[in-house]
Amino acid sequence: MRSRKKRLSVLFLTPVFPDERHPAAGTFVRRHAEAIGRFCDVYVVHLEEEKPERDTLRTRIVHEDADGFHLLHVYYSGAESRTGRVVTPNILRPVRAALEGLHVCGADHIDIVHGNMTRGAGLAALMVSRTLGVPYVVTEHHTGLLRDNSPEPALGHRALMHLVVADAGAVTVVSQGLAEAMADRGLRAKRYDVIANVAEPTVTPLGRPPFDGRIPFVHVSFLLDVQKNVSGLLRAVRTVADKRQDFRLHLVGSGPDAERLRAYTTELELDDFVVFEGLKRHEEVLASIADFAFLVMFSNYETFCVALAEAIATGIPVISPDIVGPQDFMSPEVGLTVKAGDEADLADAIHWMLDHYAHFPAQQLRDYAAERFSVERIGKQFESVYREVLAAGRTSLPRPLQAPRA
Amino acid sequence: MVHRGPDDDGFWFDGPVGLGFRRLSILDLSSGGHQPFHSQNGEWSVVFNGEIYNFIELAEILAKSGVQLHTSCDTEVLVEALALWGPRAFERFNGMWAVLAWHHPTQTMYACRDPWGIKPLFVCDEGGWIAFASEIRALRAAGCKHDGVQAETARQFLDLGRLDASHRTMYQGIDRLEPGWLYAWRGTRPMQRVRLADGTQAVDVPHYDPSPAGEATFQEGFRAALLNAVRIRLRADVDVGTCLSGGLDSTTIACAAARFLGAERVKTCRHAFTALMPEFDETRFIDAVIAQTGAEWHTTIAADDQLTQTASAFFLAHDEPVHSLSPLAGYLVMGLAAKARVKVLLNGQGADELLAGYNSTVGPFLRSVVAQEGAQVALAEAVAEAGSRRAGALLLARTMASSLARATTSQADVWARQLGLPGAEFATLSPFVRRNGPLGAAAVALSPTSHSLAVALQDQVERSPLPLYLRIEDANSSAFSLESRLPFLDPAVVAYAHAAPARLLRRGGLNKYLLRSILPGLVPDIVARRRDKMGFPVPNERWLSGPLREMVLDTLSPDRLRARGWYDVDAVLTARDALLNHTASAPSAHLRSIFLLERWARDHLDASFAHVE
Repeated sequence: MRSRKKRLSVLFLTPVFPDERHPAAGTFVRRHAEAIGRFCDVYVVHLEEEKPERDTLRTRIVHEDADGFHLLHVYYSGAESRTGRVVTPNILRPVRAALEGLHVCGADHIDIVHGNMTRGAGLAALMVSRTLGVPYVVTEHHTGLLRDNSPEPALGHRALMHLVVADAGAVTVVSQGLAEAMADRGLRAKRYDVIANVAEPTVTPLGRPPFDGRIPFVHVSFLLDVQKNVSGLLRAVRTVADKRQDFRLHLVGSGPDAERLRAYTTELELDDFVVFEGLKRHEEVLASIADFAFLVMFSNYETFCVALAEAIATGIPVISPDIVGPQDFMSPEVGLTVKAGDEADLADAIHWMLDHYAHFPAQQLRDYAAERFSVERIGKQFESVYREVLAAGRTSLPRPLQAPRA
Repeated sequence: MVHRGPDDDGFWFDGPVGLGFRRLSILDLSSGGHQPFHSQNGEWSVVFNGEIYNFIELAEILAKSGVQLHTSCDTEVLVEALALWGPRAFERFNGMWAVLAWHHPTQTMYACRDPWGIKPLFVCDEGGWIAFASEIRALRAAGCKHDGVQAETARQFLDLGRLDASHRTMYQGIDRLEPGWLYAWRGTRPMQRVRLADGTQAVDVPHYDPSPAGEATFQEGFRAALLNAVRIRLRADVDVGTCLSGGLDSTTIACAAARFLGAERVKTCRHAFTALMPEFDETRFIDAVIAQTGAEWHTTIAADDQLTQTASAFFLAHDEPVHSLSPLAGYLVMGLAAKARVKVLLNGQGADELLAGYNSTVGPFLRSVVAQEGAQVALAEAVAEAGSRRAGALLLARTMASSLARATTSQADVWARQLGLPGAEFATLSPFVRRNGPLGAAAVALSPTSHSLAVALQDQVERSPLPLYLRIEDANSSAFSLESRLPFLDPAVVAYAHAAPARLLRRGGLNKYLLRSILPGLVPDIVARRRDKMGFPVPNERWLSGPLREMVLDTLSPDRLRARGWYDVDAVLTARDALLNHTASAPSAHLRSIFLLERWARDHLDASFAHVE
């Protein structure tokens, strides 16, 4: 019954996006852009500050071919101001860069602006939307907004966030808990919409390989112990190893605590039970994850936890802590939930899963993921939010874009 | 539990788990629907109370996936859907259910109730073992212990009149599973649960367009959804009837049901049932419905000389307190239907809560209109609601002021609690509760604030009063081995109600405007035009001070009240005597709640259920 309308043109502003220098940064943002690109014409403008070798205020713009959307990297200068020169205040530099990107992105019109990260591209989204006379939405992913997790931002940043959130047509977040944490911080939005990160079901063959000898299971994370609680996971593994020896944990990823965790593994006499795989490219991780019996996470906090969603999409069960983020999608049929920080509970769960992992049907897990995290699903959700915001919030006719400046 | 399923029983035990079932045969009357039911792949064993109305459509999907079904029963469809799709299969069901499903490979017990909680399911965790049942008395008969009254629940009832508003029952130690959640128990591991999609997300509701054409499109979509909801709820292999009170909801269902003749697995609805109250004559409306539908009309009257006997049986049928004597009318209707050998009744529960039927929604409605369409439109609506320009202006001003006042009082209450100010906990205390008794010391029930119509309706659907009415509907119908089906609680109908803006739910002083807008041509004009009907009216005051006088005196006797220890006995007795001697202008709702709570305590809390069937 819903009438199909013309594709919307979306200006997608983001301060993080995979590029040549940081190929792993902001993969989740790229996935969102790909998903939206299924249903809308998306013009991604990646706004990133760079410190040029010479003191110049020139902006560097790089076009990149991308599948499903238009992509522009706008590297604006982070040069310090010098006496006698009028420079853009730091806070407005991304705004200026966004406006520059807008005029060379190739769009003949924009229906809606989508800013990523309230403190990243939020102000740029607000200002550009004002310039164009169209509404904007903001997507927030920031774990720092979770309650008790980080200090309050400075007053200026707080005021800016309040302004950006209050003025947005909608604020999308990756989990209900993040929306609640933002509301608890007094960030009042016209509406919060929960739209998950993308975890596309893989096309690898179904059916787990037979495990010769030990059952391998995996943990994938940025090894930052205060968040991921890998040391707690290791202690739980120590408890399991005291009861049975038919398993091996593979730790995939790197991070500031990698070396300390290696030493701790030795200290716990787990060298025979834990394998450090090191940092792998995202594609490599996805390709290999089906080789494991299950995935385990034990984080103290997350806004979403893509690793869990991707494991489910691959068709393997998971063990997850009962924290904000995973709470939105963890279901008994895809694995076990353990009490965050409760190592005895985690040990019990690992023990149970080692005996039962094979009874989680891979196809059901993939179907489950497809209904929640697929490109199709996420793209549709964003498109729906855009259309509802446009229907509710248009106050004036969109203005035509000016011709690109020479 | 025989009254819930007189047609068959079944038991199954395997290691740590046992399933038992009483069957009320509605679809496929053969032994093919015997439960516990086991999936063809041997992985699932299930007991299922309820109906899956879209079982025919699901069976077609299962067949395309290679599943060969051997019965024409919805239970088999449910079990094979679980086998094919896993527990998320619940998200594909349109119906009402309370299900326990044992998954053999992972040794996991799944439990699930439908999204609105039409079918009940209670749980009692005894430490070493867990028991589930459709009725609390069955759990008690099975050996589940409780630790007396759940004081917070009782307090919420006495203070605010709210029952069934959370997972807590009236018994400490016995909980109800929350509707729309999937629960899982695995060995000794802690219970795990997740919220399921309720089916409304899959409904393609058009964006509301305020133009006349857009509004008509929306109304037509709602009409189609409601008619389809009625149609699939006529699927049965036994006789089907409707409750008919003469109001909008039951009339709409009765007239809609009369349109579907001979559709697949649809049973012609030929019977309508009414409990007549001499004080509230509805017959001229009902006559018009009967004339239009050609249904056979069955009536019963709550005779004064049998009221004590009827009320006693009625109170025994309810494991938890009822909120008033109004449900007695529904109880009589169910008894009447059972006598006519009808096993399925359609009823209108949910319409008032979804479609802004209660007068309590006027304030939230006006606040929403102010926000959505501005003060001028809100003033026009207030005038229509109040009947005059002056009264309308006052109503709007009062509404906006009370919004501010409620927000302030609510916040002040929170601060008072945080500061531990003395007396804050008694802010909402019923005048008949003993302050230093077990109920007086219980946590304060905060009065809910409803700033917008959407929030107010969500509260009515999820917390109060709909969960209570659904519990009563289930207990009333199962007492007579009947099944009650509720077309307004269909995902598509709910989705339309959720998507409707405030002025499509109330308009021009009319409640349930969206429903009224689809009635022309569907129901008799005399019903479509009426503005006065609200609920099932019964003469509470006359019954309590007249035919039920002895029961009131016995229930609220000084000795009993003192022995209970919950009440301010002198205050209760003064109010009781004022009621019985007609010196009070109207029965205090607080006093009526005390009577109903104490009646329940005598019939259930104090009772031993070792004798239960």
